[in-house]
Amino acid sequence: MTTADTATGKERKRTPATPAMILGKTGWVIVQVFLWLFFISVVFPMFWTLLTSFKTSFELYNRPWGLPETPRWDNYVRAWAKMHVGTYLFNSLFVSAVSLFCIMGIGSMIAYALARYDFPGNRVIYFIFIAGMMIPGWLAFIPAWFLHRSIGTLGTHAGLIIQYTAVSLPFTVFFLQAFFKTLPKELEESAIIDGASLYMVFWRVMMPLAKSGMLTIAVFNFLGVWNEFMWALITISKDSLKTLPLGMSNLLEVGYYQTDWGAMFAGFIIMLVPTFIIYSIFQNRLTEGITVGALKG
Amino acid sequence: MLEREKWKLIVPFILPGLLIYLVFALYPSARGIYVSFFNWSGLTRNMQYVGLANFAKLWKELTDPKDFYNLRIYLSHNLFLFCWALLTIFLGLVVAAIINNKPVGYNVFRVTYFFPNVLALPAIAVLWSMTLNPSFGIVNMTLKAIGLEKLALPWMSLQYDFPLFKLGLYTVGWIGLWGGLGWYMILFLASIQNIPIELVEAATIDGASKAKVFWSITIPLIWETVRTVIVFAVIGSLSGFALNFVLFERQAVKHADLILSYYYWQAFSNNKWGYASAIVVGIFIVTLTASIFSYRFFGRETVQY
Repeated sequence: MTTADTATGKERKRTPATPAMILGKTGWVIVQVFLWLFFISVVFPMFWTLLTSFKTSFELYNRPWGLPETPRWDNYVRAWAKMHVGTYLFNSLFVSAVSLFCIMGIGSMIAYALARYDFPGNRVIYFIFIAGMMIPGWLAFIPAWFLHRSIGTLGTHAGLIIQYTAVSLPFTVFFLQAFFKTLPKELEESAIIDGASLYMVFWRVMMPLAKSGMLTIAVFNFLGVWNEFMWALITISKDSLKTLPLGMSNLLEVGYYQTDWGAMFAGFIIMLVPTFIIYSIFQNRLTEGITVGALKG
Repeated sequence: MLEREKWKLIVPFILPGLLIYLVFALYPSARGIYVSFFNWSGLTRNMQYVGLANFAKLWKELTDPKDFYNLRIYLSHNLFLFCWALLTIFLGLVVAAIINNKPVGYNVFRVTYFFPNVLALPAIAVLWSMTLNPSFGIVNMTLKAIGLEKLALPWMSLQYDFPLFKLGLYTVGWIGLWGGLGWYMILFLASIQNIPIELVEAATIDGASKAKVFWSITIPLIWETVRTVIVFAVIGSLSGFALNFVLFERQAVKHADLILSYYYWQAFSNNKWGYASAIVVGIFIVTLTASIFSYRFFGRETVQY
């Protein structure tokens, strides 16, 4: 760079095309307006719901933008007591935790055996699992419903956990098998030479190495189970066993029926807290999992 | 390593999971296809083999305009949502292209736009029911306060006429866009960032304009992603159910029902399990055809530099 001319002229040409240049000025303004409007459409409803959860019904109708005069914590108390939010929360936590434990345990063992051991049938088993990713879930709903009825798990948490585990395995195996293949083999081999058993190698050598991949797929599976609606809807009828998505779908009805808006908003906020926490911690893991699942699968 | 010792790990590691998967996921799917050839009311144990009669009935309901259940109308709702999905894909691509240049606040946009994807569908339905509520929803309250009372429409109404469909279905389309935009954005962002920067540089040195670079390099290189997400859009718009189910529970649903709502009704209210299975098999065939078609006919256009 000797002169100002080369610095401004040639260098600018090398920068990748900016959208402003592709779209033109008017287009650029339209896009900017759209970006901000969409941003508001995501943030504002959440913010408004949070604010309203601290208001009385009178304030909801008459001071829609104002802050509540005094924060109405009793909305939360009523939501917890009357709308069974606590029960739903506990049920969801229990079902999700146990399902996640089963999915990760079983899934990682299968993926490890498939990735690291060559044996007749390896490809076939892998293919059988991968095929499950292409089959739509509702194809299995009716027969699975009858299957669970005949073994006595219909309408129970066990029924949810078994089904969630079964349908989450394909993607988990697919993701972890690919992940295990990227890990170096040397450590395992030296551990075996040092006399470690094959199980020890899996637990002590492989698992610590696989932490990152395990975490990504765990976050992914957790949210999948946490938000699952269809299967819970058609199997769970007892209110005391319902999970959060079912509770959510009841929320409107309860709110309208009792016209207790404050409690309805508060209940909604309580139900969203776990999702919000998970998202703020694991946001990057989640987008990574989705990218792998959609583009490489 | 001894061969026998190897099996001591393989068998206990694979067998339990494989059994659970075969029994609770794969077998019911296969069984679902099987029962679509039967007349079966579920509660009685008799299944009566009817061949393709369920599919013939499905076809008749789809093509006969006088049919009582208006399956054609439901399918048109699915198609309408598919159009919304295409719009969502387009906007997702535009947003990804812009965000890729890391404008001010780019991370905030990225994180915020993706957020709706972690919400359960009933949560999304409840959130928008409250926000768009005609009496206390903040959208109509705001519109009324700033003098745009004419725009304060009954957004959730399935009685309010709009071009082609009722207004409530437009709202479903909007909610789908709201939820899906961030997802498509993430996918496009990942595939745009996979483009080797040298290609862009080389083209620029050869004198290609910025617009030309975008249309001749970026678009062809992410074509595979475009193809994939269109298949997703087909699958997604055919498997819509939960959102409408929660949103319109208390209204006459004829104007918002989707194919899967009909399936749900046939199976769990009408006890026509065989026919209900035929409906999902039909959807499966359509989505499978869409994926195969997309790979078979658009596959060759994929560019690899």
